[in-house]
Amino acid sequence: MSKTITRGKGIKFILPLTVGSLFLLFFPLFGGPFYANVFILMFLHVVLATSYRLLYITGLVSFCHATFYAIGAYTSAILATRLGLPFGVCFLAAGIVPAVVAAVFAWPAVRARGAYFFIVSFAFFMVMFSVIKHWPSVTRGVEGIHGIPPVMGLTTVTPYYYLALIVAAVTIFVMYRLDRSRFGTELLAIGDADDLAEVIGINVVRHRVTAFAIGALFAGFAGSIYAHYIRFICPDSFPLWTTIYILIWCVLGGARKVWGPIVGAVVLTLIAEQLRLTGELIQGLVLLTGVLQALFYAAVLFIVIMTMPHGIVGLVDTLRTRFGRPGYPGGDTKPGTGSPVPKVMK
Amino acid sequence: MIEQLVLNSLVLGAMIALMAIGFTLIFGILRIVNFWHGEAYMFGAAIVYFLAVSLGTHYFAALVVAIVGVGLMGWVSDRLIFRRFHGNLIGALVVGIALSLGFQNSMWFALGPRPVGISSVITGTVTIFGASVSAERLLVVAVSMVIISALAWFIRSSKLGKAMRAVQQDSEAALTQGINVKRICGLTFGIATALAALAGGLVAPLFHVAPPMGTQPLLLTFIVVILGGLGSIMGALIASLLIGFQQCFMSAYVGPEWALTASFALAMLILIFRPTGLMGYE
Repeated sequence: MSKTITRGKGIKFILPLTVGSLFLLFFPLFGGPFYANVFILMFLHVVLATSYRLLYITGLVSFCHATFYAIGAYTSAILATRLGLPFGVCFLAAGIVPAVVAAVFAWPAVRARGAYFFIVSFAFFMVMFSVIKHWPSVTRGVEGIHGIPPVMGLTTVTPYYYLALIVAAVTIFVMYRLDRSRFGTELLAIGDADDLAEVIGINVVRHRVTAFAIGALFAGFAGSIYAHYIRFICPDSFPLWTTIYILIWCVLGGARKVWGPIVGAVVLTLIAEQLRLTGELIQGLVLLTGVLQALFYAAVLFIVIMTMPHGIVGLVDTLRTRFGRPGYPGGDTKPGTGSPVPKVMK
Repeated sequence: MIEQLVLNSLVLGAMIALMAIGFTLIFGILRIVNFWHGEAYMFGAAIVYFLAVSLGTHYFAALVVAIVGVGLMGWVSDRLIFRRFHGNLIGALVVGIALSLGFQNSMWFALGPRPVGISSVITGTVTIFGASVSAERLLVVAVSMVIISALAWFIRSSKLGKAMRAVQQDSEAALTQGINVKRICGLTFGIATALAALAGGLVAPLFHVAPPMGTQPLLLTFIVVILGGLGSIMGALIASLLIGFQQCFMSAYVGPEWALTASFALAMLILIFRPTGLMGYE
C-alpha cells in the first residue's frame, strides 16, 4: 500500500477522530454515573467484538468467546481474593490464562471445520460453563465470588471509565496494526478460501490458532476489568447470551473491517441499555424486558443478514462504489466484493 | 426402577432420534445447520397444547395438525429465507439463531410465563417381561420407531427419496439429471421440521410445555450428530439411543448436572480427535 493513500486517509479521519476522543475523554465530567456505567460496558463489548473478529474473518464461527471472558474474570477474581495479588498482576494473568487455554483447545479443534468447528466450540462453552458452575472449591460454584477488591481501592465509576477506555483504545490500536500487517492480510485470505491459502504457503492451522489465542487474550483482559468493576461474578454473569451478542455485533457491523464490530457493539449496547432503562421505567414491563430485548435482537439480526449480509461495512462499501469514489482506498480488496462469508462449504 | 430407567432412556432416545434425523437430513442435503430445529419441536408441543386443551380437539388429531403445520412452516422458511443460504454455513447459522430467538421469545406471549401441561390420553400400564411400564411412554417409542422406519423406506425406495439421496451426494450432478434440487431442498426442510414437531407433540403429555423447551433437545441433537456423523440417518438413530441411555443412567446414578456435561465433553473429544465426527464425512 502506497504512503499517499495512508496519509490521505489519515487527514480525512483526523477531525472526527479528534472530536470523538475529546468527547470520550471528557464524558465523565458531564455524562453522569448512569451513562458512565453504560459506556464502561460498551468499551468492554468493543474489546470482545474486535477480539472475536480475528477468528471470525478466517471463516470459523466459534461459539465460546464468552468462555474466555469468563476465564479471564475468574482468573483475576481468584488471584485477587485468594492470594491478594495486586491488580496489575491479576490483569496480566487474566489475559494469559485464557490465551493459553484457547491455544491448547484450538490446536486440535481448528482442524474441524464449518459446522463441526461451531459445534466443538459450542461443546467447549457448555463444558467450561458446567465446570465453573460445579467446581465450588475453586470457583465457589453458583454462589459466585463476592468482594473482589477494587482497583487500588477506588470505588467510584470514573477511574473504571478511564481504565476501560484505555483498554478499549489499546485493543483497537493493536487490532488495526494486526489488520494492516501481513498476518492480518493472510487471515482474510484464509477466510476467502482456506485451501487456496494453504496452497500458497500459509499455515492455516497455525494462523487460526494464533488468531484464536490473541482473541482470547483480549477477551480475558476485558473479563478482568469486568470482575474488578462489578466486584461480583457468578457463572450466570457469562451466559450463552454473551456469546450470541458478540456474534450479533460482528454480523451487524460487518467483520471485513476492524471498525465494523466496533460500530456493531457500540450501537447495539447503547440501544439495548436504553431499552432496559425504558423498560424499568414503565411499570409492568419489567418482566417483559428480557423477552423484548431478545425479540429486538432477533429482529435486528434477521433484517441485517437478509438485507446486508456483510453488515454496515458491506453497506458502506457498496454505497461508496455506487456513488463513484474512484480510487477508494479499500486495501487490497475490491469494495463490496470482499465477503466475510465463505461461499463454498463442502 | 431399572426397567423404568430403560423405558425412559428409550423415550428420550426416540425423541432425540426424530430430532436428529431431520437435522442431519437438512445438513446432508442443504449443507446448512438448522438452528431453529428446537423451536420446531416446541411448536409441535405448543400446537398440540392449544388444540387439545383450548379447543378440545382429540390428541391425535391435534398431533397430525401440528406435524402438517410445522412441516409447512419449515417448507415456507426454506422458500423465503434459507434458499439464499444453501451451502452458506455462517449465513444460515446467523439467520437460524435470529429465527430461534424470535420464535422462542414470541411464544412467551402465547403460552404465558408458567409452564403448562397436557393431560395424558393413554393411561394405565402394560406388563412386559414381568415389569409394568407406562403405556403412554411405550406408545411414544412405538410411534417413533414406525415413523423412522417409514422414513427410512421412503428415502431408500421411493423416487423422491432417491432424488434426495442424489442431491445429498452431488447437488450439481443431480441438477443435470433433471432433479428439481430446490424442490427437494424445500421438501427436506418440511420433512425435517415435521419430524421435530412429531417429537415435540409426542412427548408433550410427558413434559411441560414452555417456550425454552426446545433448547435441551437441540443440544442433545448436536451431540448425536457428532457421534453419528452429520448426514447419516442410521448413525443418528444409533447415536440417539446411546445418548438416551447415557443421559438417563447418568442422571440417575451420577447427577443430572453432569449428564449433559459428560456428553458434551464426549462430543468435544470426538471432534478433537476426528474432526468430521465418528462416522461423518466432509
